[in-house]
Amino acid sequence: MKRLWLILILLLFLTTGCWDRRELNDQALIFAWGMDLNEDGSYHATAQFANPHSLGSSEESTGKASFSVSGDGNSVYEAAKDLQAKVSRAWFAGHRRVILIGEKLAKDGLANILDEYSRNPIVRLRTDILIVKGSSVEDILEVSYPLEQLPANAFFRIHEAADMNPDLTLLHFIMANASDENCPILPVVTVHANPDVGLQLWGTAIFNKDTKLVDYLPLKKGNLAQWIKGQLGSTIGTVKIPSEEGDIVVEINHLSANIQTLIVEKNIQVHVTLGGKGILRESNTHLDLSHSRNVVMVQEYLNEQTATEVKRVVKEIQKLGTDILGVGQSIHRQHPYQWKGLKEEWSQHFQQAKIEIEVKIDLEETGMTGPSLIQKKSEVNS
Amino acid sequence: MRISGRQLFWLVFSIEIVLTMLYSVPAAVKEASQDAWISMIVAGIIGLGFVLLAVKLSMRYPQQTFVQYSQTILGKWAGRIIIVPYFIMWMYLNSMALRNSADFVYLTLFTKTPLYVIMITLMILVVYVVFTGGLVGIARCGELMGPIILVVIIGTCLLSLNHLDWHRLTPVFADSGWTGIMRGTIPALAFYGDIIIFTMIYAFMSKPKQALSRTMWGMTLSAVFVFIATLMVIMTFGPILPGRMWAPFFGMTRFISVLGFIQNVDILVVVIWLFSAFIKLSLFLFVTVYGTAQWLNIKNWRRLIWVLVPLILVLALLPQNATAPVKEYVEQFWIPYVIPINVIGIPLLLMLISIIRSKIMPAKRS
Repeated sequence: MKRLWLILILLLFLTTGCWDRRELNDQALIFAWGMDLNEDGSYHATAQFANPHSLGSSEESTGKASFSVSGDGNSVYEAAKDLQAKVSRAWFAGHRRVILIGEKLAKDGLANILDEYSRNPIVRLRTDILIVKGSSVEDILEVSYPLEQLPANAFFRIHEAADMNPDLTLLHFIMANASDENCPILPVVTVHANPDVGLQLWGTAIFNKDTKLVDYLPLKKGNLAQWIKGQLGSTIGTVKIPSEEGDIVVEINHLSANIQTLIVEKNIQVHVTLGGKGILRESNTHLDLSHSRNVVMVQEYLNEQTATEVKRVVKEIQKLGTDILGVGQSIHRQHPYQWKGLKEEWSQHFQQAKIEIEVKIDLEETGMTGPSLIQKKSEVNS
Repeated sequence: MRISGRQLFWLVFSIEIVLTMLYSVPAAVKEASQDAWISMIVAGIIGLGFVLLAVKLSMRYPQQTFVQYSQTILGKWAGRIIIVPYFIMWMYLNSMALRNSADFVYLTLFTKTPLYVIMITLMILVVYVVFTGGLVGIARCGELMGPIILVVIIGTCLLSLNHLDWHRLTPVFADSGWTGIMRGTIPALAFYGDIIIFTMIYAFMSKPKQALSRTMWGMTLSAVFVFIATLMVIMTFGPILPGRMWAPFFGMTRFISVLGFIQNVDILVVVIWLFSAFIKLSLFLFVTVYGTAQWLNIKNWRRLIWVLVPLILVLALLPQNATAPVKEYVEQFWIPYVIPINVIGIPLLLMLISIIRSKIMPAKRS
């Protein structure tokens, strides 16, 4: 009996395990995926594959490290199937980290295409999604980027170098969209006019609750919005000192944001406190920064001027009625019972909310010099 | 066949933890959104109540299994009739646990392999351990695999720490209220109800006195980790997405990325899942086969394996898709019938009759 068992089990090893055999040589790895809308309303998908022959070898490679193929269809998977007809190996999306969305599709709404990106068990939720502005998705995937072997990585790393977390873009988008409070945002890339540079992170795209693209914020304004959301690592601030001619530039790290809300008889008052630690990087003024009262003065102007700037951006966002800042979320968390009455028409309430901005940056370092080394002795104001 | 207290502890832990962690979280979050962790605390406490009931009843007859002492309490015929709902429960548990296990492998790893092949492969292993090792073999497997399950769960929890945001737990209580929180306990309770199967096991304890404490500890450890898993899932995915995901804890482990190079650790969760499924399936099969043999007065319980296993396989293939066994069947059969009748009703009734009988006829108790 025991021997029979042993034979049965050994037989088992021979009979199973081949259904799901997938050799690496039989697969085409997708690294970036682009979606856009055709004239007739169908989707146009472009996949960027790695070229296995030119990857990883130290010798002079024979061709480009990647190539792109496009397909059409009424859904993501249909387009992918159409695309497969032009590829000699089965495509595999497990390494896909970047999804590019065309402007036209973004304006039409992303609701119909996002499902596949979280349903397929091969695909990972850690994915970066970017909106392509000013050119077609197909074209931007053809752009070769000098620093990266695979152009797909350039999108991801440019986004990362801007001190945001590109890994979490898709998750944050889905979470904001599923919530009652928030409107989602996505980063925007464009093709740079200079073909050697190739790509450029342009700013932030604002979506409404129907996942439709409403408006863009250019890079600097977008960064301020991300600061309020708490999703930005660092930024810079330029200070104009009224009594001086030049500017002072401060790098701001350790960004923090705190939103306090107050509801007084249906009037929503919001107090946003933005914090950070500043390092003075450049001074084109005559100030002697070895005196701490000058540093304090710079800090005060920095806080004041940043607050005005942020306020302008917030006004702009409020006008659109899209709460990308997390104000509704703060009200929900701080006044959960009142929120139940507000959430139905939150867009209008958000437009009417009184939002105050306070910036509290600590200017901690002024660099290796006190006064600028360039200036004559008589020019330095102490 | 005798098992030790430590073996019992690991058996309870490995059976309760993994399935509950994976499948009860989405249902709880759907009902109680960000307050699902409160539901899990409540469910854990009620689960301990189940343990108390099952152990106290069994300890009145420490040498007898559930099938035997129900006949001691109610007499030969009534005692046998009362086993009918348990037989249905055993068969159901066996086939659904098999289906769950196979579905998990099918969805996460082998999407092109036919489902029945995965099931038969699993079942051959299970039959092997039940047939050759009996309860002792299962208990030793539990002693070996249980600690691995624990280590992997702790490891995945630690690796997930870097993307938690405790703000996602707020506002506490305001959105769901007591009704939402209590409704959120039901899915976890459905899994904790499996503990009733151990009324068939306590008779094999080498030291019956340890039964209560070891089962309690096993249950507590499971409940604590289910609670932690719920907290972490909500802090990772917010209050809405976990309710829509198939197994959010698994989704969270897929999401792990530490320093950019510790990634794709989800395969470890598949491994402990298979461990847990293996122990669960073999213990359920043992209880079903052994219980049925005692119920029908069959001397050689091992022979029943060849009758019941094909039946279990067929039953496991009946559900149309992967969500039915973890959702619809639980809602329509397990929660309204099995939990109130098999897990609470009949044991309480037996307990009551047993106490009354021992008071009226103290001499008759041996």
